[in-house]
Amino acid sequence: MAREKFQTLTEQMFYILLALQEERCGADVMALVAQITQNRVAIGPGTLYNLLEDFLAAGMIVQTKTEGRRRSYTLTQQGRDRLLMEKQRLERMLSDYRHMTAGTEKNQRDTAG
Amino acid sequence: MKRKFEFNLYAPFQYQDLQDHLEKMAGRGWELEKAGYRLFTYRAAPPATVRYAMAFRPEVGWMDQLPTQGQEIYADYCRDAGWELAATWSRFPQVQFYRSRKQYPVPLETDLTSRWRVTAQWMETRFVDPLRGDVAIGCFFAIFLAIVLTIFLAQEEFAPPLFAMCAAADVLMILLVLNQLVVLVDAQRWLQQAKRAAEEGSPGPGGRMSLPWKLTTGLLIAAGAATLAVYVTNATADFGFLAPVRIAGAVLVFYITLFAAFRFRDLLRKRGGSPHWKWIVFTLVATLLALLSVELWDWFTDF
Repeated sequence: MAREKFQTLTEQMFYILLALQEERCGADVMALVAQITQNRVAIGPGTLYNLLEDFLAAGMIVQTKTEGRRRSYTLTQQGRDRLLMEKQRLERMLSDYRHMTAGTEKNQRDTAG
Repeated sequence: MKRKFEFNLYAPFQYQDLQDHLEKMAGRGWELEKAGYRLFTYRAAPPATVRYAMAFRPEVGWMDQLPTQGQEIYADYCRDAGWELAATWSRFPQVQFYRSRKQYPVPLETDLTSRWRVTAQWMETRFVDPLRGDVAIGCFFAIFLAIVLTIFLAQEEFAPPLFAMCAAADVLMILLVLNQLVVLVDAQRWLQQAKRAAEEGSPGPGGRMSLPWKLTTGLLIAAGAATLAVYVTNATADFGFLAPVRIAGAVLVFYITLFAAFRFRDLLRKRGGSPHWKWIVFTLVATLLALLSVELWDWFTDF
């Protein structure tokens, strides 16, 4: 069965939505993501174009300004909700990790000490 | 400026082979200038390490005015990332070639799910769907001709020189059917793998020409050359040394009319207006050119 679109966000999707909390154009999104992730996450131009089109079609972002070929976008309420859901999912994962490794990490610290 | 022309045998989904080939050409001092229907044009440039990548935009129509607004925005993003547009493929206007002179540029696609979703969409709507119809029609005529030729050959209706030509043409038709089926199977398999990759976010299908593809294409070219050689030999034996010149003239006229049709389509793509009207105008002009080509072929080969 086909997986529901944007059920979980990839790194690129997450960072593009994160960057669009404020109005930005595509080039600014690419530069900002590289800056905040210290080049750990790179967004290719093709990926940026495809994902912006997908987010627009899904109503998660909206086009705010067009200057020549330069288009700016920002998150809609739906986009903000989706970003928040992803944050909660990541927090749950982190919490599960902490819960499952708490004993192991304590033992490792005791052994090292 | 020095230029080099090359007949391209790669399909767009054999993207790794294509990119490697273009990078090798850049290393030898030839950079891609134009991607025609089958003919690629290179211009001389200082030998350099250049990276090539292909972009697939399934939303671009066959007769849309090029570049489309989406292609322009896409090219702007690419320029910001250090990629310059090298050429738009005339055969598939949805496919563009980008190049970067950086040693390690950010790839055009960094998200596997979106990459394979878009590429699979292009492959399905712009390549496999039209291919199915083309292969069905092409195979129908090739099989029909092969059956007719085999029946005549079995009845020993022809004298030896004509027999050899019909036998070569018969083999050519059988290989044509085989080659088209290999093309369809390869494309269909690639599409399924691309769809799965879009679902799973996995690396996706490779972009290499398969061994059956290489074999059948090689055999097809050899059979085509053999059929033509037998035809030219027979014509020379019967009608003298002017016959090969006239056959060469007929082939040249055929390719000139084909080239004129593709050039006309490229001109239509540069203009605005309704794609439906452009299709109608193109079909009319292509039909006229085809009729002219048949007439000229008859005139040239009427020994």
